[in-house]
Amino acid sequence: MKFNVQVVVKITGVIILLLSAAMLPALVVSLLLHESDMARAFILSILPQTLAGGVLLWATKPFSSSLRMREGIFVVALCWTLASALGALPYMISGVIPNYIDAFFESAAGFSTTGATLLINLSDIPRGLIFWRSLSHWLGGMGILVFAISILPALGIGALNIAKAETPGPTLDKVTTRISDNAKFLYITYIVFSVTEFLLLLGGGMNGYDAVIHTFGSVSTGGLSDYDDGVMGLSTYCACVIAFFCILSSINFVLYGELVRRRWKNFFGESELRAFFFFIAGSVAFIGLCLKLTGAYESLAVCFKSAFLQVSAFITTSGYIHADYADWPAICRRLLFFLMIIGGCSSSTAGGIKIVRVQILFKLIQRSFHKRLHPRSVVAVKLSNKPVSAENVSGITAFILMYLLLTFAGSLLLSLDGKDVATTFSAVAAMLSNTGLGFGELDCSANYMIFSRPARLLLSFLMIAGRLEFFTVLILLTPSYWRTAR
Amino acid sequence: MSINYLAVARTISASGALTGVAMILVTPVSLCFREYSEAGGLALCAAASLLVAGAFALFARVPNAAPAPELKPRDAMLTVCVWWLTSSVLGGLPYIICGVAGAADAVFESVSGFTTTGLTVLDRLSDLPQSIVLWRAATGWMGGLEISAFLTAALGATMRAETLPGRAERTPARKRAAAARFCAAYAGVTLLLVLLLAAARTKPFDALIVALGTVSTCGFSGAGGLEEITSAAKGILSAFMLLAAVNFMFFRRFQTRRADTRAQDEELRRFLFIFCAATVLIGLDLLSTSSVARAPQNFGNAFFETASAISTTGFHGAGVYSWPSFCKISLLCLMITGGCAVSATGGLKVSRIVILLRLLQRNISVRLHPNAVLPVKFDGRAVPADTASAIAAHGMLYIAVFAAATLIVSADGAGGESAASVFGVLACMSNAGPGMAVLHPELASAAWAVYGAPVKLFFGFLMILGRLEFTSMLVLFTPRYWKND
Repeated sequence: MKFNVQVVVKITGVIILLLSAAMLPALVVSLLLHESDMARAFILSILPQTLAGGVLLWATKPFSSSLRMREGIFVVALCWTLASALGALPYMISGVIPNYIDAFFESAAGFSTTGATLLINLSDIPRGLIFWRSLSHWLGGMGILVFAISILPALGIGALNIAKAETPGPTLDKVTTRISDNAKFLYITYIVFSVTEFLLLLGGGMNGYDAVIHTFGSVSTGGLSDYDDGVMGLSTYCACVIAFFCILSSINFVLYGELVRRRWKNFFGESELRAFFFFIAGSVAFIGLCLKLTGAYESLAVCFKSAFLQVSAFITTSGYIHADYADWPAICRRLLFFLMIIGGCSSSTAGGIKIVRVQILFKLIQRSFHKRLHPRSVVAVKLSNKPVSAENVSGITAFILMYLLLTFAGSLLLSLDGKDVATTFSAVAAMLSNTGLGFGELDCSANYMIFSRPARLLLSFLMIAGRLEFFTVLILLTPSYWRTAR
Repeated sequence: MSINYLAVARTISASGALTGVAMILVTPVSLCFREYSEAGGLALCAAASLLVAGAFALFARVPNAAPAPELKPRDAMLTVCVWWLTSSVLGGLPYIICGVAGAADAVFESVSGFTTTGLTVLDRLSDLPQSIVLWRAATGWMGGLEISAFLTAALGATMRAETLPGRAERTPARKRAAAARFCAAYAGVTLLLVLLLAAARTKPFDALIVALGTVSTCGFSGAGGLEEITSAAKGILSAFMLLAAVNFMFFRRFQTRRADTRAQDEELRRFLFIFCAATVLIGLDLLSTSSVARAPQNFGNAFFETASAISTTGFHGAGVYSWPSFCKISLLCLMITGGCAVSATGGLKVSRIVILLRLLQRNISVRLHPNAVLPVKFDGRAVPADTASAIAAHGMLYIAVFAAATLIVSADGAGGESAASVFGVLACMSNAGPGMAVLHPELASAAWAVYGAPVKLFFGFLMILGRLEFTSMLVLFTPRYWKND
């Protein structure tokens, strides 16, 4: 199969132009806030990009052929890498993060909605740059929706919308139409969420700038806050608004279409959504009771409030720190850690393994028990009474295995940095699930200054791999992808 | 479902008899050490075990000498669990009667022995009566023998339903013969190891304890059995640990000189590859932080620790606690991997890991070539879809059990706070035992067991679960197992 270089170069040009356009709002914010250094940095980043993007577009012929799977996979991986690489420029040019690798880490954490950071004192950082950081979360969140709902199924990688109608097999010619079809609805939903949250936060007494930052941080489940003490100092109202919108954006966005069409049953009856709510309710009840029984907080209300906020931060993989959970009982902390690994629903901005895969995991175990008792029986794995195709099941098994493999391989590599075992493992898990929160030396902070430069590069790779559901990135690393003859 | 009471009673009887006989064999040793009260205690326990065995034997007597009904796979799952439970409970009696442990500790200790895990909650091992130490080591040795005998002969087919190469013997007579042959070989290897260790200037009693812990991959070394060990003895131990981790079917084939099959043993090749790669990487990492002159020691240590980890034995020098994280995580991976399929080692087993990786590889290939038909191959043959999916489910089950167990043990306030509880769970699930001390030094001593009795028993449950490869035992907890159909 020949690699369609033309198309790839063309798309690269488009991405670069889009990115330079995305920096314009940040430039405007810098100008409005009279941060001339920051504005200069943005202009210096925008100009060469516009130039490069324009040249690439001009040099290639108009779209001649459609995107096939190979190019599709390549382009998706390229998209995030390129966005992170170019998005790193303002950090570096402004001198806030002088080293390019560090700037790349920061930018990758933004576009992958991980929310890990190398910045320490947020109040000393130019506000235009923080705006760019949170804008990259927001763009990353939007990108992942398009990616998960339109591109992945078309590439035959998704296997996610299982409860929905069977996605047609891996036929790639439909990619373009599907993207434009679904994407419009997605954009609208995503923007409606953002605007609503922004208004609600304004109503809660937040100023406009802070409200934007927190809105971007929560609808993308990136988890960025521009306060030095994060969201801990916020009023209960604002914290709950943020948690609520984190949860909303961790629900399968395709389902909102059902809501708009007033098919309530399809929405509330969906098994993944129910499991998601069950996980949240169960964990909140459990952790709230634990906190009360161990006397972590005085009043029952505070116990349940902290439990709810922190559970929402972990299961949606936004990674906000609402309470000092390091002092909570061990069982609560471990539960939170597992929630982070599980993550939100499929086709949402949340990271992690995704609820539906965990459901299938348990069904698989159940089936293996059944098979043990009745070796000759043939049992299909079912989800809401619909059988899941063997292909999907094996895809999901492979995904979970890949998760484990990357966790161990990533930890082995990261351990060369010499951090203790718990820190190493939790850092890798935090990257792969796009949460950003760690344990051990990373307890209650998403600050990765403790790692060395090469380690930061590895972590950036893990973030992007985690955001793109592994296979997109890892297929590129297999020799058979690059073998041309076939 | 109708429970096969007969089979259950026979299992209890056989297990009790074996445990009783073992206790009787230990008694003269305690007389030699002039530990008369312990000798009396052991004799008492032996009597109790034999009494239990006799009672159940009476119950299980088949009238009219009719041939016993054949053991169905379903009954086999139950009997295997009953076997380990019976041994564990009866084997815990000596600790209680000799007054070295309470009931929960005694059961934990005994389970840890019979499952070849090797963790201990006994405080101050050096102050313990020698006969108790010997009994502790003997339970490990018996556990190794039992699991190997089950795997190679009697219940192999059922226990390894989801695994793997090497067929179990079919007819009862051949099963018995294979088991007997295996027992003889096992005892012979142990004796050889004791002699070799003694020759390498280890004290005879320590040599015996360590040897019992090595061939069974239990990893119990008594009080400082490994502290004064010479490097020659370390080398000998490494070799025997590796031997214990090899698929026993391989020796059988080696003995019958079927050269063609020997060449094809893929699991063995992968096992050796993993072992060598890990040794070299760990050795290099150690070297990077020390002077070149220490290269031989570094690689020697790497060799010993790698052998101990991959065989899930758990011997380790005190130096590993300060090893760099890379070495620690490598050893952790090895302990989770474990040895070959039909061996006394714990863990997931090399063949499963290889097949899981192949499944992953195939998944990637299928995405690139959607219409290709790609069988997963192992040992030159295609793995049946059922086997492949059972192995995948086994992997998933491992994750689920780990997650559930870490949550459960953290409920115990005192011990749950510590990271030791997470590694304790892994140590029990993979039967690696004290080897996990590499990741948390507390696990090497009784200090980690600050838990209440329920959590201690839960750890024991995890050990049996790991030993019986999860599904065989967990199936008993599903309602479907007990349903009539």
